[in-house]
Amino acid sequence: MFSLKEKTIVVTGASSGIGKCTSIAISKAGGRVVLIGRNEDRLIETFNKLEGIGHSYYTFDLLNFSEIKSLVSRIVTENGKIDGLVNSAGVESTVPLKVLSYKNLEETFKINVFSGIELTKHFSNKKNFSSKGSIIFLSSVMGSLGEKGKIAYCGSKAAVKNMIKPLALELADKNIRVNSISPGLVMTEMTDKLFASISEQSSQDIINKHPLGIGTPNDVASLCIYLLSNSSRWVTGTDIIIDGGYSIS
Amino acid sequence: MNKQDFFEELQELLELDFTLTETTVIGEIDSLNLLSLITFLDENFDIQKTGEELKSITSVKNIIDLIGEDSLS
Repeated sequence: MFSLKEKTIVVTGASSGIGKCTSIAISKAGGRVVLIGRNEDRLIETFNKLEGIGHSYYTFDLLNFSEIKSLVSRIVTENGKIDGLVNSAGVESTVPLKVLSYKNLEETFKINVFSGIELTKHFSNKKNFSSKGSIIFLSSVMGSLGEKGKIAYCGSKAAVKNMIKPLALELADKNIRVNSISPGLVMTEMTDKLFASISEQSSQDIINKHPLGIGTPNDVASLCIYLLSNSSRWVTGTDIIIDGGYSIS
Repeated sequence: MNKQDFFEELQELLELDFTLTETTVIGEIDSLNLLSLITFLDENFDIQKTGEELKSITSVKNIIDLIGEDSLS
């Protein structure tokens, strides 16, 4: 297991799915976790599962874009400089083109793309971030592939896995690494919603396309721990696919 | 923008550890910060400059001269 001892890591989307699992894994690796999520009850649920001490949580809706800067200031004032950021907050919807609205597109991109950029912008300021650090964005194999009704989602995840390259270049001088992770289908609440929105046959087809079966949030959390640790000190600007073989089948 | 806000925003933009005044010498600005300064001048003062034109800036006074004292109310 890679160590995150003495590191303070901020995780967005920490109240469920990959964000929740990653937060717990960080605490098990010795890190201090700062949880961000919309739902306070669920954040507390994650908070109560963390190991060790010194963790904190902030109830915040990332759609409140203009408040992100002051949230970052508050977090740094109350927790000290940050060593890592996991942009795990994300929304997913299945909306075919003919009924796709600007509102849907805007909300998807605001949460999946813009909020992560804004958080990175403020956290990466040298007064807020440690001299060595790691920032992770959660993309998806859907950022490279397609699925009917996934225009907003696929578009936003494609944006994520490419924008980490200029971010990595800009932040390399500060020794801050930026990478993204593209998971295949992982069993989370978001996946339950996906399966509920498509036919049983379509769900089975998706499952069958994963040679190693469907993943778990823990599979992705383990990769996050590696990217947050010093063991990945030479890894930046990379998108890592973790999908049980989905994208090669 | 008033002068105090200008000093604070410039300090934040260039990530400087010290408080700025009219007489502060910044020193050479690196290429990434020059790009940030170009956007800052354009968005806040409607001044369009190239990196080459801003290359000689080394002090707060250089920037104030560029935007004009009157622009800082």
